[in-house]
Amino acid sequence: MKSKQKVDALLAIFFVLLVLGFLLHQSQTFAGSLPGHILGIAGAVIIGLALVYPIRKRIFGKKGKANPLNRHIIYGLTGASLGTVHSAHKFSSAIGALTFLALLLVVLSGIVGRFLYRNVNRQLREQKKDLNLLKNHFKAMKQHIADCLLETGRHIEEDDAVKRNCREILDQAYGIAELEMSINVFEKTKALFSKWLHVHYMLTFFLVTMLVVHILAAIYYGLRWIP
Amino acid sequence: MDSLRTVLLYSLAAIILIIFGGWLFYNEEAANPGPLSSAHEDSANCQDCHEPWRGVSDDRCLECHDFSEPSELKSGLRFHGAHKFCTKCHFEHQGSDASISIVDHTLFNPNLQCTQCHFDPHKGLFGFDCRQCHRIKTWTVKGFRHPKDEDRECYRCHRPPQSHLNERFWSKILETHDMSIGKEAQRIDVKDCWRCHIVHKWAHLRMEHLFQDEPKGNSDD
Repeated sequence: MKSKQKVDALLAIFFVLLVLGFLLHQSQTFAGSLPGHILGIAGAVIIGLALVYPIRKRIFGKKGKANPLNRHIIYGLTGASLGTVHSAHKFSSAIGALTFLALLLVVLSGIVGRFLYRNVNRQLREQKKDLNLLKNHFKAMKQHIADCLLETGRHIEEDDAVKRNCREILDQAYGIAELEMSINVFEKTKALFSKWLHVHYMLTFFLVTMLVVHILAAIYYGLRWIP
Repeated sequence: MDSLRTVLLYSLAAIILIIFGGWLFYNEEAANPGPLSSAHEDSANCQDCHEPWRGVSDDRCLECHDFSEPSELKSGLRFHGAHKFCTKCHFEHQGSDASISIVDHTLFNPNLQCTQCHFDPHKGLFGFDCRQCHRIKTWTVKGFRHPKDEDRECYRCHRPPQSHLNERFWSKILETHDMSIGKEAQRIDVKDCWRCHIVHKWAHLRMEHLFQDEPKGNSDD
């Protein structure tokens, strides 16, 4: 299975577990049982592995194939899925509920980054390429533009060739204007999304804090399965 | 300038999160996974049951509960004399009306017989080795199907109630029915449950088939 397919499959699994769990897997005691804790610990460790990506990227400057984003997403979604099963869909304590909320927000902000931000960037790149093509073509038609301007005010309908050129020039001008407007919208959206990474980081800090508090509280009040 | 602002922002966020995390950890209510049972809800604080970093211990339970003289306990509670494994069967924070006991039978002495604590609805007919048919976690017998209507050996599992063993019961039956068939009625054995009762509902009597030799389905339904 390719890395992208794995990401899509894990994303589907996460949402299925999240939604169906409320119907099929609600338990007050599961999270604190031995199997529940095994899932919780495994989830926390795998989420820890997902943090290797931003550390390598920001601190050691590793990017691209040396530090693939998909691995970060696969670890993140696997850890979140295990955490969801560990919770047994009962959020009775404030610490447990906040930890799960943080987990959910990090995953959602990750999805925004992975799918929406990437799509906006791709669209913007493609539209800029189209705009350059149109502008170059427009410039190449300089002579026709001059003819067209000269003919303006006369009965241009009488000359078919001039009429055709004028219409083509006009269509291209409209096309350029539309593209420029669309690029402007995408630029604004991109500027908004550029704040996304900071939001994702802040939420990750929140999740790490909650995980530490959650684990410490579990040990402090006692692990039921340890004699 | 921008990076300095970012560093300051992240540092501020880290400080806020550390303070928030610390406050949350020391706030006992934040870790409460649910209301205590009505028997324990008056507990002053978490430490009454939870020993910090060690959890709920048998010693903490026994500070309030006394099982030192098992012979004085009700028969169903005598195994509490072991003074250990409290948390194997008792789970708190399930709500004020919830039961806090889920008995872990695997902890019991294997020589202990089920009927020493449980009532035997079979009245000894199937012996005392309940585990031949029943399991600890699922008491329902897997694959059990009640015999068909035509089966006449009800007595193998069902015992007649005390009333059916009394002469006056049969006299009353004869009185309420036609006395002319009294002789026939005397042929009815107390084990011939099928003559009056039908399978799908014990209280439902097949009156019109009362004295017939062969039961003919459930035509009296």
